[in-house]
Amino acid sequence: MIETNVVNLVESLSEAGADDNILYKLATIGINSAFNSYRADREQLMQEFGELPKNIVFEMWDDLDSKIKVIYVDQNVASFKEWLKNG
Amino acid sequence: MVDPKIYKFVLAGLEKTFNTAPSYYDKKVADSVGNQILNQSSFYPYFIHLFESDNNSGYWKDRISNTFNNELDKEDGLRPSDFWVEKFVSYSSPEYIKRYGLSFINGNCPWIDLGIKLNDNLKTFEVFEAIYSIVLERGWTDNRYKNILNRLVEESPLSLKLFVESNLFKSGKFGRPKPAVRGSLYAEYIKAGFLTKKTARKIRSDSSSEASLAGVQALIASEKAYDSYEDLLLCFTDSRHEYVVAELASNLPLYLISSLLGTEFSYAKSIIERRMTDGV
Repeated sequence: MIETNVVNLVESLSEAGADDNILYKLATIGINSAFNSYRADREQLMQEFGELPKNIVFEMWDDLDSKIKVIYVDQNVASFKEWLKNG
Repeated sequence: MVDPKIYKFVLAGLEKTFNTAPSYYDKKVADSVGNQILNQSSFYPYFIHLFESDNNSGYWKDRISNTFNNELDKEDGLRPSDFWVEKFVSYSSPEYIKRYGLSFINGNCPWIDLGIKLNDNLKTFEVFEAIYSIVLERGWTDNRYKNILNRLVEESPLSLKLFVESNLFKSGKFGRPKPAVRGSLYAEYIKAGFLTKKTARKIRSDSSSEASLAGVQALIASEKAYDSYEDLLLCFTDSRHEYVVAELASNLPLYLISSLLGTEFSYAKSIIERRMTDGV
């Protein structure tokens, strides 16, 4: 599906009143399954996931595959080290 | 509203939940989220998108219809909303079933099964004929055929009577079915209370032991449906099929068992001997 259709489709769900928690759960299922799949855009998806703001990842964190959590930390290693340094 | 940056992942999640081959992960996680979503109108735009892009290559119709089929079997299971009823009922038209009936009878297309279950105004006789014509070619019966046959008996027993009398006892629109199919129709015809001495003799004379036996067993199970039950049973006593005579030997009232005394079938003879000795 082309990018604009994805945006329109999910935006229409959100506008129709889809519950944010369910949308976060679905996003978590999406990233977990993308990580374990052979889909062509897997690397790109993981890259984009690593770039998501922390407050979004926070919403998804509990249900994320632990390997994906490691990837997120790896991709945000500077922030993570800063957090460690500050105790 | 959620951040648009996760839209792509949300769609990946929807596709994983509804439009991929099921996996262990789905049983643990995706299925429960899926069940939460199915009847939420805010997700209908996604489901409409699935229907609109329908090219029979996705998994979604299988997964969603299997989910509802399973839930309908549970007492407190998830019931499809009007949105789904309208969508799936469209798969229960005689035209659609004629087109995809073979796949349906082979155990695929659960959405047809769901459509039939949800359709309160099903064209039952036309659907039965569509499925019957496939069963006729294949030669054996299965649950999906039996389900539609049962529904026909429930909704329109007279249609079944006319169908059996014009296609099995005479040469009708359809050719002669294989024994298993004849047996299933005899059984329903008899259970519905339509058997007469004339049609009983026709079933007695069926060339197949399997079909004739199905008729006798149905009659024995339907004693209360017939005032002339014993006369009808006696129509079968000179059957040339050993299994039929043995069935009668086991089930005829003792005072009628003498009607079988001339039988040459050794197994039936041994049953008669035992019953006469035991007096039961």
